[in-house]
Amino acid sequence: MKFRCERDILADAFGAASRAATGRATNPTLSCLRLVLAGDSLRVTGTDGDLTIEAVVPVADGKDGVVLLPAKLASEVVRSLPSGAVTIEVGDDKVQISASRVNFSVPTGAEGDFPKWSGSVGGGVSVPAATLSDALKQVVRAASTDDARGVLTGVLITGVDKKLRLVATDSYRLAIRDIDAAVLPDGAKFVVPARALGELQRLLGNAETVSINITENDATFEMGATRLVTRLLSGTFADYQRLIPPSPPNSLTISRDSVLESIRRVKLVARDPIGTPLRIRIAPDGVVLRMVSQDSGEAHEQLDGEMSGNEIEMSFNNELLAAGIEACGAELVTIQTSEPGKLAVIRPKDDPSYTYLLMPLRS
Amino acid sequence: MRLVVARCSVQYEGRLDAQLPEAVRLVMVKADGCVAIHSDGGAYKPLNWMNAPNTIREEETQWIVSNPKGETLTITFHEVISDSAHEFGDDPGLQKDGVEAHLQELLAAVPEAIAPGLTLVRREWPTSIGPVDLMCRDENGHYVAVEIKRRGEIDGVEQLARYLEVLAPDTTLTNLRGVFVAQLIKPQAKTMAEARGIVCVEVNYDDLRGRRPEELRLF
Repeated sequence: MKFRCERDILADAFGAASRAATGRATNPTLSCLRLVLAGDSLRVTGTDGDLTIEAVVPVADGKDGVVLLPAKLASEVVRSLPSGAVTIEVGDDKVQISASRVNFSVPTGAEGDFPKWSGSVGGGVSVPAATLSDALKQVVRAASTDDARGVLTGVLITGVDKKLRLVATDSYRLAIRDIDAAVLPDGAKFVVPARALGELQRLLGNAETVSINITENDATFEMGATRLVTRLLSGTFADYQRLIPPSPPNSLTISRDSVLESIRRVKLVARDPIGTPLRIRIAPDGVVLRMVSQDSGEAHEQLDGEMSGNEIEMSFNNELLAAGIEACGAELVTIQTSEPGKLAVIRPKDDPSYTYLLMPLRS
Repeated sequence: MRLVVARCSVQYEGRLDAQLPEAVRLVMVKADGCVAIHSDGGAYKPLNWMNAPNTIREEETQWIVSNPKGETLTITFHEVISDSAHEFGDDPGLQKDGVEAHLQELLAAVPEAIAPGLTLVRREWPTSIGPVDLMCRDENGHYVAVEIKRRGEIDGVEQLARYLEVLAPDTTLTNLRGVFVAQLIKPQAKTMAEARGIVCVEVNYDDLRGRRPEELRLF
């Protein structure tokens, strides 16, 4: 096998595919990239067995073949090369990677046990990449990062009212985002690992559209010449719809940037990474954010906001609250509450497509 | 860091006079000027040492280390076996593992989990030999130094005993006592703690996490 390719193109393909490769599996081929050259098209694949990323790039002066390369090393080598053409040539048990006056000789891996591609090709429903990327940014962070939480480490993808709905929760907060795209029939439900969607978000950066195809066992996302396929998580996702209160009596509309700046300021006294409670008092004369730290003192700030309903004081985890408000993405956000100890509903003002539910702290 | 392995003898003059007879030892001279003389045993404690700032005068077969307090350490080299110097750069400091650091944070938030009525005065209370994990006060206003470990072993008890020894002359810390906290404390450590008047408390990490205020859940 032998080919020539521009460094930037090859580095992007190696970089994308190597993010799915893993050095922690018992199968050593999973720490490798699989390169398959047919004609002037090179397919680069990395997988950990559950998540697979594949990129197809154009090459020149090709001689067909298949080879496994250590993913991390090969990616770093290609990225480090001077810009311009890179030549890769496979020998008996080494691969020569060269550009200009630089040459690397890298050992190859054993081809035998590399998993087969399990995703779908074609047949998906197209969604604007920027829309899906925004939705993932709003939702994925709410998924649990604790592997012991099983299905909560995933994002529920479901069809609701001819829209695509993404839902994630770590049981302290829950994020919901609706996208105007009939990707799934109403009522269809799948849970996609949040890690895979985090990787998808990276890949969406330069794409215009993404094609989504979800089958019984896996989900495939295609962006031009790059594809990502992931196994789905099994298990029953939380019954999230019953958690959304129909009309909480208290409502505050406030500037998103102002409240985020205020949280950043008052949390200067909170060095405790667990999350020093942030107290919010919402009253007719204004909103007061207050934080008290046994180690570092106290801070409070008054903000203007438009409120209706009753005066209320609640405590929140400052990081989870800021994440929800930031994710709204609008100039004004609405925070709806009912009573201390009950969840708050955070939404962009006049935009029902995003909802963030957050439990307060015991106070 | 300069490391000298040598057959040497050492004379200390200062608060008392002490000497190390001729033997093979490791002499460490750290970048900040600290000098420590180690034998081939013991995990942490040098046979003799001088904390910075020091002045080191190197003569043909002797180093004379002196400090502003008037203490002098004279190292006489009979045979130098190895002499090397290494550039270490900045040290990132001690990184406690996740559970131990988290335990400290959790207990700082809920010191009553250690003993009823305990309130936090400060985390990482500074001493000349390192910070005490938590300094608290009990319901009588007496100070309590708390050392927290994931696993309670003898070295943890010794560490707390050293802190108590260093803090003992501080008369503002009224009736200072020590409490050794861990998820599980070994019997030998309990025995040693008891002999030194240190109270042992075992805490459950999961229970403590359950006491975190944000444990209010959606479902």
